[in-house]
Amino acid sequence: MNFLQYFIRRALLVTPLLLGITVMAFLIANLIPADPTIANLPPNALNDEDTIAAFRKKWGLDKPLHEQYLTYLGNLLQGDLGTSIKTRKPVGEDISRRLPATIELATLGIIFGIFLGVGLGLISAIWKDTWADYVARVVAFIGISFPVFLIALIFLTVFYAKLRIASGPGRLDIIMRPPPTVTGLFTVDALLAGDLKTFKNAFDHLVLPASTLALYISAIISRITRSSLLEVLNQDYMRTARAKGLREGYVIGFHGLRNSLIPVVTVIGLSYGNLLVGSILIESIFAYPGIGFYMFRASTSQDFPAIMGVSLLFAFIYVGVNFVVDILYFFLDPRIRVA
Amino acid sequence: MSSISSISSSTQEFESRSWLRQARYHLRRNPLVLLGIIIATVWIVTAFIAPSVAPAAPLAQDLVNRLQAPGALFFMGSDELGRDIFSRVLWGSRITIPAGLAVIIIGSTLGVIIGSVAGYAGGLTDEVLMRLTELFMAFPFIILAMAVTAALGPDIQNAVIALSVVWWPRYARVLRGLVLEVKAQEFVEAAHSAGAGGFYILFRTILPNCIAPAVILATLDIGTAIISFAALSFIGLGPEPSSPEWGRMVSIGIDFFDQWWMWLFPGFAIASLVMAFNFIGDGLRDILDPRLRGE
Repeated sequence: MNFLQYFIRRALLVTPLLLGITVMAFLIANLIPADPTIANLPPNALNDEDTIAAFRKKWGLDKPLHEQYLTYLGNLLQGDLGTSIKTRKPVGEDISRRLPATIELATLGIIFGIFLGVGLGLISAIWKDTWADYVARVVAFIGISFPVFLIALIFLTVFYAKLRIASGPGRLDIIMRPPPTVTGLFTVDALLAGDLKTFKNAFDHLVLPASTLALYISAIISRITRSSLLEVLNQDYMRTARAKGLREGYVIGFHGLRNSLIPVVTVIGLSYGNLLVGSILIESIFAYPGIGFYMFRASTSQDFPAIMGVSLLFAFIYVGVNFVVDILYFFLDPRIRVA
Repeated sequence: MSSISSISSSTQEFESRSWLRQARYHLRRNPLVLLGIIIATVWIVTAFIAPSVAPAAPLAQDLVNRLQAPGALFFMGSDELGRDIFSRVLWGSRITIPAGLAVIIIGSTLGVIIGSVAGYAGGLTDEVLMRLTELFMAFPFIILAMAVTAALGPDIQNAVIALSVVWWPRYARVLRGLVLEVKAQEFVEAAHSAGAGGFYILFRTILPNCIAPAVILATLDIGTAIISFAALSFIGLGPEPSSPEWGRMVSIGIDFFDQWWMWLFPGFAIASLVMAFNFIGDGLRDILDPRLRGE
């Protein structure tokens, strides 16, 4: 199978899934609340007949359910996710303004997380049943058992408030000015503007929340890496590689790690869901102005349109990431190319 | 006749004794399971006796002594309204433990029913139910639970309902596979030819042979259910703000960052309970999965 065939086949599988997600989001938003009008409009607008009529007309609430869905889908395709009760702005606009901050945090978080997770898993598997293995497994266990918001609070207390070696909440120190917007990622924009001071400040502010996120997602990654590598280490071709005199580092790095990577990549894709949930919990503690913080504010103030908008976005991102993972298999697993 | 019954009773005795011995053997090899059982038991007992042992009522305010650090007056300090954190943490177990267990019980039951019906019925039913399962699995499950709770209106009951609604797909998948496997065996065919109805065959002949893996999965899942419930209530989609629910207490504690006792103790309560159930679940998997035991 060549790459294009594989790509098209995967894409065809994803499309109905995306449509299905919109159906589900539509059903949750329109069937569960007793009255979608009350759920979606600010309390003071409910006295205003015109506002209510306009809302019902825009979302086709007087039509049968399947037509309502088509209206919903039509609005969605134009990027219209409704209006936030709290900010009084279109949810789509709110989200796109905050998205770069979350992308910046999540990217750094997943990079840290993969290094930490694969690293711990490697240590655990190579030095199985030694103290190094136990330490690595305890770290993974804490990542699974401790609520991520607790880890965030402890990190903030220890590294920011007590030891003063990390930057605190927000994206930049209050006295700093954001770099001129190109991508919306402060670190990248600062570099593009050649402003190293702002870059360092923005990066410093990312380190602590990204590390918390990393600890959270590395737990699962390290467990899978460990068990997958342990399985691979016992294979015949590993013995062959050693028997032909290859150095141990090369045997493990090239023959071992590469072959144990397939389940690891799968789990990285799946842990993207944790990453998104983690961003809500972590951003709320670090007062980091991204989508997660927006979602936190929305849920504490019952801003229903905003909650639905973010949920839909997160589901799309999740499906998108797992699509990319599927595509990666093509390069990682030669068996797919032969089949 | 009497000799036969005495033989069977002595076998039974032998079996139960060997079961005990096995349990003791595994507990000695997995001391963490024992630790998990002890911690979980302490919390469950606490949930039962909290009203009689907690020094104060969970909502009792003492405005003169607000935000007191842990000390002689308040073992774990007091919060912004002078409520005793220690008492609130004890009372909180009465919310979190039942909520977590309810999610697991409702969610796994739903999953077992949906999965086994899909596997047994096959054809179009199977196709529709499994596509639905995939759809649910396409959402990160806590995000889906958030949306459902927000639509239902935030409170404890709705958070449990929402989590149960997103919990079943994994069970459905596992059960479907198992039912397909068992369905092909001779004794099912025998039941068929004896004239048993579909309902009887599925629930009395097939399901009893597939239930063990679902129980293991459920045990492994309790920790996740508790931590997910805490996360929902942390972001305000659970009990009302004054409730002594642990996740909610941590979330209110953020505004009192320097009064670390306000968030640290409820946070540790969640962590210890989740860790205990994870120890038990992991140990159970090691014991029951012979492939892993060999290592």
